[in-house]
This record gives sequence, C-alpha cells and structure tokens, in this order.
Amino acid sequence: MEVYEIAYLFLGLATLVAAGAIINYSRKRSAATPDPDIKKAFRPLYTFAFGLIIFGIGSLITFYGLYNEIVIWQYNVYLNFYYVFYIFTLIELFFLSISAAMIMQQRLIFIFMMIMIAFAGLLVFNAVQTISGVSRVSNIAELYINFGNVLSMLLLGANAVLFLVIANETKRSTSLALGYAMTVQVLAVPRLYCDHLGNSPLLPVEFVFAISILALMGPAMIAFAFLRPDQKISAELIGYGASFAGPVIVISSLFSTGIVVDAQIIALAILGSVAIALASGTASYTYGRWRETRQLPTALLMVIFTSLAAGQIVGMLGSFTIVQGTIPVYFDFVVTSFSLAIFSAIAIIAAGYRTAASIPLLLYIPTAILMVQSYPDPISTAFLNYIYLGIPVLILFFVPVILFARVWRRMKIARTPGRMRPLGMSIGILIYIIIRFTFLLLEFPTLDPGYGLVVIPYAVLWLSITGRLDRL
Amino acid sequence: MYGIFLINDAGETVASVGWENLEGDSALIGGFVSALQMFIKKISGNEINELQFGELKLLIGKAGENYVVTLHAFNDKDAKQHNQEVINFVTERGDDIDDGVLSLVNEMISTETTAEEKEKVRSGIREWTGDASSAAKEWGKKVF
Repeated sequence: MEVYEIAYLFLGLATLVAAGAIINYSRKRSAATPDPDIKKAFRPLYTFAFGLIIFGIGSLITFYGLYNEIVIWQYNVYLNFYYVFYIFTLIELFFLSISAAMIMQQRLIFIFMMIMIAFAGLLVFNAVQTISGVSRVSNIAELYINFGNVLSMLLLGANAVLFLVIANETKRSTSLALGYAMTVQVLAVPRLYCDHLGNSPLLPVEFVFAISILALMGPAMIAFAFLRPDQKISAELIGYGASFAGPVIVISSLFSTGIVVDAQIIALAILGSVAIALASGTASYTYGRWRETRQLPTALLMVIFTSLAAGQIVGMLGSFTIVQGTIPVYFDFVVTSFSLAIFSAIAIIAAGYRTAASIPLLLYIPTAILMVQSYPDPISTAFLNYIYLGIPVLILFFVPVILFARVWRRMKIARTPGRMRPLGMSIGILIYIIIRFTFLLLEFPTLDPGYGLVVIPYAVLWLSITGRLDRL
Repeated sequence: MYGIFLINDAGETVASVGWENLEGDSALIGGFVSALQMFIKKISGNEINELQFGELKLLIGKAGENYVVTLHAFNDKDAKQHNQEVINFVTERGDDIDDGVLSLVNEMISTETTAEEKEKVRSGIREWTGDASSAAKEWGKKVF
C-alpha cells in the first residue's frame, strides 16, 4: 500500500473527530444563548458536521477496500477503489450545499449545486455502465469520471471560498479551518493519484505525498480550532495541524514499506511520532506566545522546535527508506545541531550576555559546513573526520544545560515562582543530547532507537515551556 | 430597427424587410430614394443620408452600387451604428441578398443587447452575490 492510501484511514478518523468538535462547539454555544435567532444560526454548522461525518465514513470504507484489495470492477482501478469515495463525497457535498444555501440564504445556489451533484452522480453511474458492458477498458468512462471529479472539485472549492470569505470578515480561526479543510479536500481528490490502471498518477509521487500531508492537516485544524474557538487567525493553527499530519505520515510510511513486522520498530515509530507531535506542538505554542510578547528568545524557541520536528520527520522517513540515500541523515544532523547551537545562544542571552550569544553560531556554522562536505559518507565518518571541531561544538551544546540549571538554582534560592521552566529545559536538553548523539554516531539497519527515545526529552521540554511542569 | 430596404442603382427594391410598418407598396421606396438622391446630387453635389417624418426616420447609406435604407424610431440612439452594420454586411455579401437574408440581419442586429441591458444584468448579479456574501458574513459573526 502507498502512504496516501493508508492516510485515508487517518483522514477518516480525523474527519470524524473534527465533526465531533464542530457538533460539540455548536451544542455548547447554542445552549449558552437564549436568543432563538442565534440558536437557529447553528443549524448550518450541524449540517456541515453531518457532511463531514459522511466523508469520514467514506474515507474509512475506502481504506478498508484498499487494504483488503477488494475487487468489484477489475477493469477500472479508479472505480474499483474510489467508487465509494466518489459517492460519499457527493453525499457530503449534498449536506455541504444545504449548509451553504442556509448560510447565504439563496435558494437558487442550492438548486444549482443540487443539479451539479445529480449530474456528477449520473456521470459515475454511466461510467460504471460503460465498463461493465462490452467496453471494459473505456476512455469514455474515464472522461465521465474526470468530469465528475471536476464537478465535485468545483463544489468543494465553492464551499472553501464561502468559509474563507467569512474568515476574512470574522477573523476567526474556526471558519479559516473550515475553509482550509475544504481547499485541501479539493487538492486531495483521488483522481490525482490514480488512473484507470492505477499505476501512473497524474502528479509525481512527491507531490502526492505533500498533498496528503496537507489534506491530513485539514480535519486536525478544524478539531483544534473548534476546541479553542477563542483564538484569532494565526499560523499557530497550521502548526497544530502539522503536529497531527507529521506523525500520521511517519506511521503510514512505516506500514507502506512493510517493515511493520518488527514489534520493536513499531513501538519506536509510535514513540517517535508522538515526539514529532510534541515538538511541532511546542513550536506552535511558542509561535502563539511570540505573537503576543514579541520576545526574541520565544521566537528562537519556535525556530528550534520547528527545525527539530522537521529533522525528526525527515530522519524517520529516511530510516524507512521512504526518502532515499543519506540526505535525510545529513538533513537531520544539520537541523538538530543547528537547533542545539541556537539553544546555547538563548541560554547565553538569558544569562545576560547579549554579545556573547553569537559565539555558539560562530563556532557551529563552519563545523557544520565542513562536516556536510563528507556527504555521502555515513555521518559517523563525517564526525570522525572533523572530530577536533566536533568535540568543542558538542561541548558547546551542553552550555544551556549548565546555564539553565544555574538559573534554576538561583530562582530556587530566591523562591521565585516558575522556576521549573529552566530546570525542565536543562534536563530536557541534557537527555536529548545524550540520546540523539549516542545513536546518531552508530549505524542501525532500519530505525535508530534515538528517534523513539527522544519522546522523553520532548515531553519534558513541552511540559516546561508550556508551564505545565510548575503546575504538576 | 423597424425595417431594412436594399435598393439598386436603377431604383428597384432588391430586398426588403419590415415594410409592414409603413403603408403602400414596397417597390415605391426604391424609385423614391433613387429619384431623391439624383435630385439632391444635382442641386448640391451631395447625397441625402437621413429623412425624418413623425415618429420615424430613414437612414440612407451606400454599399457599393446599392443604397441601404434602414427604418428607425426617431429617438433610436443606436440607429447610426445599426445602419452601418447593415451596410458592412451588405458590402461583404455582395449581390447575393434577398428578403430572408435581410430579416436575419435585422434580427441579429436588433436583438443584440444594449449597454444598458448589460449593465442591468451586471448590477443584478452584483446585488445577488452581495446579498449572499453579506448574509454569509452576518451568519459568520453570529456563529464563530
């Protein structure tokens, strides 16, 4: 199975969760107001959520069909695997159109959309008739399917525009998330992946991969937005979406390569995925705080966690040979060590030496450049080649551990509140360095155990940065 | 545009459409127009291009050897433009024109939507989408 095929399972589940979040939100909000007019205004949202439920179920059935390779129409792979998806998308669009018509109070739009849906249904019916008759492999059937897909893309696009217009007016992340989800659903029409023989996608496989990540972010963003409806439009939401999509893609690619037989690897991959979620979640959180406070260290923390999450995803995909060669290892090495160098800089700024904060980067950058030149040798060779530079930089990475620990001691003596934050950072970085650098220099056949174990330092860092460690 | 008449240099009406808006015989107009043009040419060296009577006006133009006469309401703003379109058509088509062709031309030119009508449709659509989007925005404010 391909990664995007497994992604249907998660897409379906996430969509159901998103629908649940919308219903929950509408229920609470409409219960909170005595105004019957506002109570009535939530009806389109319920209808929308119902449409999402249909789509979620459709995705799950599609996954089931793909997973068990159920054959209904052997001469047309698209119809065989995506017939259910197509029909369920049309049913979803039926509810979405009702919702859109209620929102815009336009009967004409509703009638127009219904005609388009009916026409798209008729097209696929005709396509089935054509291939189950004498033709079997039929270009006309292909044409019907393509046109039907264009119709559903237009309708989804119209819904996306509607919610984006509303988001532009209300500046609310909730309607932005709905608009985003509809937009990526347009992108994720399975026709892009699959022709009638199922072997030559219209788009290069890397694009398909990227599109499935974007598509997975949609329902996750809806869920996050409706769980925290008070937030304004911000990139934080995209970060939360990515913190769902990243791990899902890692797990899906693990299944698609078939190395799933090893229980130890599954466990490590799941831990690693949780680590990605924690890292990108922390990145989104720090971005949100930075938008409020505009403090330089907070912005740097966001950069750190974004790069760490990216390194973790690419490194893990490299381990599963989804991304070929040693490039993922090098990428992971560069972004991880870069993040640690910035961590040192932050610690030095926090200790009050603003000018000295540039020293870690001045030392780190030439070392990294020299080591990267050893490509495509294994990273351990690169490290050993420049060990006289590598060791001082490695020591430099321990600077924040010491500095944050000292800050914590001073705060503890002065009994300042919030002192668990530097302690958590200190411990988190220490464990992270020990785990990652030990395993980075060793060679593993599939998955470096470090990718799984880093979930511990990420959890510690997440707890301390979001301030949860103080409340424990 | 109420009618089109095509008159050759001998003063015969070659083809006509819309004579029912006037009274008498359509053959007469050919003789009248060519006689009138001859007379005006003799006294002034020019040709007449417009005649107005009551609620109607005739525009007279030349397409090669033939006269193209079109009948309009006296306040028809597009009269000159329509007349020119008919002239262009006749010049292109040459001698191969009969009543059927003229009535097609008449229909083609007359049913063309005017700028006002287009503007009406446009503003209608604008109003309609405006209603829809303001309803949507209001809904968004209530719900989100």
